[in-house]
Amino acid sequence: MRRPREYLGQLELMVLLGVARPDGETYGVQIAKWIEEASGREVSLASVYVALERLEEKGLISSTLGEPTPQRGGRARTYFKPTAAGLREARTACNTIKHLSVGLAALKGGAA
Amino acid sequence: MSNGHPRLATWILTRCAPDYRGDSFIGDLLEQYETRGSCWYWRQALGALRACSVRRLLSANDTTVLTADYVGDLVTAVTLILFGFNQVGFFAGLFLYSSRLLHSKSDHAVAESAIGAAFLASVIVVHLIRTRSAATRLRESGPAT
Repeated sequence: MRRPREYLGQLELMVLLGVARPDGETYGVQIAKWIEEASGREVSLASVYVALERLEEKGLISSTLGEPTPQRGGRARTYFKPTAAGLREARTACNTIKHLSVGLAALKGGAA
Repeated sequence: MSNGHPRLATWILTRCAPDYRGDSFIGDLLEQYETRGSCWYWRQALGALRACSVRRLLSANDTTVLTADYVGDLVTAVTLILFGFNQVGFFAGLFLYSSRLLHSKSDHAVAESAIGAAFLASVIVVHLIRTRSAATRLRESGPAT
């Protein structure tokens, strides 16, 4: 029997979308910044790293190590990019959310 | 890199979260320190320690998970006992006293202790059941990777 596919969590999806952005280099703190700007809420860098690790385990993103810099105390950045499966998953998740929210009047106009 | 960054937080992270993509994570913190400040730095460091503990717990072997489960339950039980022992015993004693089932202060104290002990026993039983169900859950899901 085929195992049902695991759904992405909200933060996982946001992180995956951050990784998939075409602008700039995607590494932990940059992804956290994008999420903060988009959501208006502070996000824990640790949560972003946990999500990144999960996404990598699922084969949705891959990582490469950059060069160490003095600004970072001689530590290198880890850069992330989406895999083909990751892009597919992001597209599917976004489409699902779009379909589910069609016609929901409660989501319009900001009324609680 | 700023020389004024919270060295203690960095040291704790290096010691306690070495497997947490340690270098990249600490590097990210140091990179942001100058613009975000030490409060943010500490918040992020503590968040990492919490996340790392949970992750270790999930990837640990059965004994570690059960020990953590046990400690967590024990803390809950002690809290319940400290709060509940007095409350349950007091109200039960008051009820019995007002029902004229007890006539002296010593009877009242004995009733309080007995009901408190029963409450304590029930907390222990609940704790044992929870630990047992956690063990079953682990056995069914197989060893963590």
